[in-house]
Parts: sequence; C-alpha cells; structure tokens
Amino acid sequence: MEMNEDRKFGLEKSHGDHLNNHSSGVSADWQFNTPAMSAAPPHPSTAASLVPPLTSSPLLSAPVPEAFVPGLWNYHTMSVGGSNIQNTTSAIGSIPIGRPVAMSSKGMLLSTPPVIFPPSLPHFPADSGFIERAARFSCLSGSSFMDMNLLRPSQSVAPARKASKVVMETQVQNTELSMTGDKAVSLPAAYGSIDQSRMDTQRDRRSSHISNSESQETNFCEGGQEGNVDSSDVAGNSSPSDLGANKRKRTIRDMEKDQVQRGPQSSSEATKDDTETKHKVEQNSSKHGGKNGKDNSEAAKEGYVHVRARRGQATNSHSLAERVRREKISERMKYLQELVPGCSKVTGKAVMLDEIINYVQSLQRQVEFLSMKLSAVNPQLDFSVERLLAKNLRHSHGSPLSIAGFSQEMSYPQVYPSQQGLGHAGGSTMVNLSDTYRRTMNTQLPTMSGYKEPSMQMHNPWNEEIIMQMDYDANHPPNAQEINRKPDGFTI
Amino acid sequence: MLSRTHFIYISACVAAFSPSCLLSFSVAAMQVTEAFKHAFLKQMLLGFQASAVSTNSMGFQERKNAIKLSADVAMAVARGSRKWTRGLIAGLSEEQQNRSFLQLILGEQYERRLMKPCYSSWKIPRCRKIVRRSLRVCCRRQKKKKNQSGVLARTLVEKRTQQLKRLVPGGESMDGFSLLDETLDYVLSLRAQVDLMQSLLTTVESSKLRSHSKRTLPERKASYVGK
Repeated sequence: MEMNEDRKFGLEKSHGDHLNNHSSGVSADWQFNTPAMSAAPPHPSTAASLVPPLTSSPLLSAPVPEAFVPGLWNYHTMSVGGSNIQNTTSAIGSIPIGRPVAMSSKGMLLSTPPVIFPPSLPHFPADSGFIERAARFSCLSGSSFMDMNLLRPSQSVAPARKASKVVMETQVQNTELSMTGDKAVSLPAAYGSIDQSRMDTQRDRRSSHISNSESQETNFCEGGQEGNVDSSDVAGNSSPSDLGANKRKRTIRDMEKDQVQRGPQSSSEATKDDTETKHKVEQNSSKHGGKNGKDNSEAAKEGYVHVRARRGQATNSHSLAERVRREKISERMKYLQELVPGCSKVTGKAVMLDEIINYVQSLQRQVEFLSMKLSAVNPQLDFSVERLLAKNLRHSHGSPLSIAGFSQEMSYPQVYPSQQGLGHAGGSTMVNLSDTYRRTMNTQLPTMSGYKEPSMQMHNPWNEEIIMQMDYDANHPPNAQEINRKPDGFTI
Repeated sequence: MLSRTHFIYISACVAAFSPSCLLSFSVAAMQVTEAFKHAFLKQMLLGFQASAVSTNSMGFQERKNAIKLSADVAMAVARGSRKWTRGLIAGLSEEQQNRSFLQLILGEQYERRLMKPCYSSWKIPRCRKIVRRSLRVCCRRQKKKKNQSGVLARTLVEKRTQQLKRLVPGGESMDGFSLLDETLDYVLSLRAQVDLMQSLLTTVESSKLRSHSKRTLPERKASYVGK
C-alpha cells in the first residue's frame, strides 16, 4: 500500500516537472490521437522494469497513460527513500492551490490531497478518454503553445509589435479562460463516467498541471510570436463553416503545416500590414467568444476577403477562391466519408470518389435486384396499402395498431362497391384516392390503349377486395368469398 | 381510434401529394426521417396500384420495370424538390412509355417539373467545359513545370467526377461542390429506398406464408365440422 502511495505522488510531482519538457510532444500526440504516443515517452528504458506490475491490470491498453507512467516511474526510481514522499506531498499540496479557477468545481477532492490514497492502479482507458477530451478542448490553446514551442528558437526574430501585443495577450487570456472553463465543464462530465473517485483526484492534479503549464507557456511567449501564431491561426481557422472538433483538428493540422513551412519565414510575413492582423485578431476573439455557427460563418466570410495566401501559393483572387472552394469540397467529402461505409480511413479525393461511385452503383444494383424479387413474388399477392402502412405504423409508433380500428377502416370499402358513386359517407381516404385515380385516369387518358383501361376499371373493386383480403384476423365470411373470386378478376 | 387512423392517412396523403413539401433528412445525423420513409412507401404502393403491377398479365420484365419506376418516382416525390429529383424525373420522362405513368402520379406538377431543368441542363455543362478547357490550356502554357503527380491526381479526380455525374441523376449540370451535395442526398435516399423495398419484400413474403397457412386452416375446420 505504501509503495502505491509513493507511486501516486511520484506520479504527480514528476508529471509537473516533465510536462514542460515533453508537453509539446504530448500535446501533439493528443491532437493527432495516434497510438504513436508510446514512442513519445522520454524514458522508455526504465519503464520496462516497472511497467510489468502495471501491465497486470487489463486496462493498460491505452498508450497515453503509458506515456505518463514510464516517465513517472523513472522519477520514482531516481527518488530514494521516504523523505522524498514528504517532499512530493508538499509539492502536490502547493500546486493545486495555485489554480483555484479550474479546480473550484472539484474543491472538495482537491482540498484533501494527502488524504486520498488510491490503493489500486489507475483506470487507464477512462483516463485516456478523459485526456483526449481535455486535449480536444484545450487544443486551441494547446496548439498555440505548441506553435510557440516551435517558434521559440526563432525568438530572435521577434518584431516589435506593441500595439498588437496587448490585443494578443487579452485574446490569449480569453482563450485560456475559455479553455479552462471548458475543461472545468468537461471534467465533471468525465467524472460521471468513471467509477473510481480516487482516479478523479489524480486526474484533477494532472489536469491542473496541464493547465498550469499551458498558462505558463502562453504567458511566456509574447508579442510577435503570438501575432504570427494568431494570424496563422485565423488564416487556418477562417476556413468556412467548420464544425466542432473536426474543424479544430483540421485547422490545427493546416496550421502546423504552415508553421513548419513558415518557421524561418515568420519575419518576412510579420512585416505585412497591421490592420489585417488586427482584423483577424478581432475575428479570432469573436470566434472564440461566440462559438456560434453564425459567428463562425461571419468570420469565415470576412476571412474570404482577408484570407492570407499560404507560402508558395499565388495571391491571385483566383487561387484564393480556389482554395475556399476546395475547403468546401473537403467538408462535403467528410460528410460523405461518414456516410459511405468503410471510408473513414481512406484519405484523398480520388480514392474517396472511387468509393462513393462504387457505393452508388451497388445501391442502384440493389434496387434493381429488389425490384426483380418483388416482381417475382408479386403475382400471388397483392399490395395492400393499408396493411403495409399499418405495418409501418406499428414499427414506427411502437404500438400495435389495433386490428379492430383497422377493420373499421376495412368496412368502408365494403360499402363502396355497392354504391359505385362518389358521394361516400365517411369514406376512408384510401377509397377517395382510388376514386381520384379512376377519375384522373378516365379524364386524362382517354386515348390510352385498351389494355390499360379495363385493368384500371377493374382495378377499383378489385382493390377493395385486396384490402379486405388482407385483414386476416378479422373473420369476415365475405372476405373468403372475395378471395375465391379474386382469381376470376384477373381475366381480361 | 378511428379519428387517429383517419388523421394518419390524411396526413400521409397530404404529404404524398404535395411534392413541394420538404421531407428533409437531417444531414448531420445522416438519417432519413420517418416522415420521408412513410411518404415514400405510400407513394410507392400507390404507384404499384396505378401501374397495375399486381395483375397477372404483365411479363416479368415489364413488371420489374414498373416496380422500379414506381420506386424511383416515389423516391423523387417524397424527397421534394432537389436537383437530383428533378433530374431523375426528367430522365424518366424521356422514355415515352413512362410518361403516362408520371402524369398519373404527379398530376399538374409534372409539367412544371419538366420545365425546370431543361433550359439549364444543356447549356451550362457546355459552357463549363469550354471554360475549363481554356483554363487548362492557359495553365499548360504558364506552368509546364508542374509536378506530374499533381496533374495525374487531378485527372483522376476529373475522371471520377465525370463518372459520378453520370451516376447521379441530373448530375451533368452540376459543378463539383453541388455534385457532392447532391450525391450525399441521393445516397441517403437510395439507402432508404433499398431498406423500404427490402422490408416490403419480407412483409409480402411473410404474409404469403401466413396466407397459405390460413387457407389451409378453414379447410381443416370445414372438414372437421363436416365430420
């Protein structure tokens, strides 16, 4: 038990230390959600010896916690003796307190960090799911600080942009607050799904560490980098009508590509007009604040005008319009990807189109085949609209349409053939329909071939026979007679 | 009970016979609505009756074509007014034999629908083709150093889009973006069509079995009573 306690605290402390160093790699993996996380952990060798006790739990399939755990285990092996435990406890005690904003919703748990000693191993998949969610929520700010990490080596190129700096910082803080707000919202949601409350505390600490480091990161980088980042962010984000997490991921990917390309070129691009960036900053802040579909579309529309050409592309209005059009198309392709089965892994327009074409062809062939089958089945049985609709209604409404009520409907057609007239007291709508059919047929198709007409005229009384016939449960003697009469009706 | 069934039938009829009503899907959920399925089924069955599919005198091919026609028309009607529905009906009405049926089903809407895509369907693709050809020539003149893979990919995509245009009804007169949109819609409704026909088939077959068993029962009863 004591060993476990040690592990937990070692976990927290080292996490806080290591986070700043390999947070960029971690966040990148979070954003891409790949199992390549297992390659990320910086201490794989030492993990080998300590992972076996963890792997005993069946829940260790998630790679994300493994990334954390090896590092943490490593730290623990380095720290020797019980004195370290006390150090870690004190360290942990200090850290959560420093983040009251995010942790207010979970105050109770955090206020007693030394008390809660989780004896069992962490619930890893749940953790990874939570981390994914937290990552998704924080990926905007995470992306920004990741970009900052990338741009850090080129800090020397920072241009003097005081005017935009203030705006940037406020906007960044806005994002940060919104991020933490989102996280605070997401964390209780994540809690609901986890059984072990102890894991919650660990997650709290971890998230607190994450948000802590993120805030530090965002605060460290200032001015020009942020300007560049945000402009690229907006340029990437101003792609129109994106939806939710997909949008963020995609734009972040685009942004990262841009960043990789534009890293050395940031200076030259930074010398573009300030007004443009200010416009984009406003759009960006409005986007973050509003998070409305309308706001996004408006920002996107403005973004059409202010879309910044990426490196290596012409700044023609043609090519910009092309790019916008391409982004629209890619969004539609995504919808289609979800629709067409087995297309989620396929990327690239040509292959996707191929799959779509195959699917459409197969559906059309299926329709042909089914119509063939229906025509083969058909001659013995007739289509009763009412019966089949009743079946449908039964399925859709979940309650069986009473046959009694149905037979009352059936009784109307019985009246009809005797009357042979249009004035029909309380006639069912079905009968009215067949009526209108007969009328339209007689008026619109006077020159129809003789083949059709007799069948049409015979159709109606025979139609009623069909309807009556289908009422199996109600025992109508006339029905039996109708059934017997039916084959005669076919002769033309 | 009576009033409820009445109401359901009336609403279904109204829905079926007002082609302008948009029984829409929810694209986000990728699911067709129940109302659409209902209207679709109803239209299809009415179409079957109208074309007298159940008569014995039709040949197998004839019947199959009639069923398919009813199904397609029902799909188009139930969906409302979209580019592909108009294209579908226009395509179907090109054959002489279908026209009477279409007139029957659609009534006065038929003429209006026919008129809509006609004027646009021929000219626009021609114009677009000319424009594209000219653009391609310009591109070729200006940028001959373009990487081969890009060109290859583009031609592949072009070929595929051409194929897709042939598949989706009325697709010739659409540009790339709306083509994808219409394809999305068309795929959803095709799926619904397949599902509906499948369920129809199973119901018919099951009721056929039931009818056989039911027919034998009264005979047995009669024979028993006779004894």
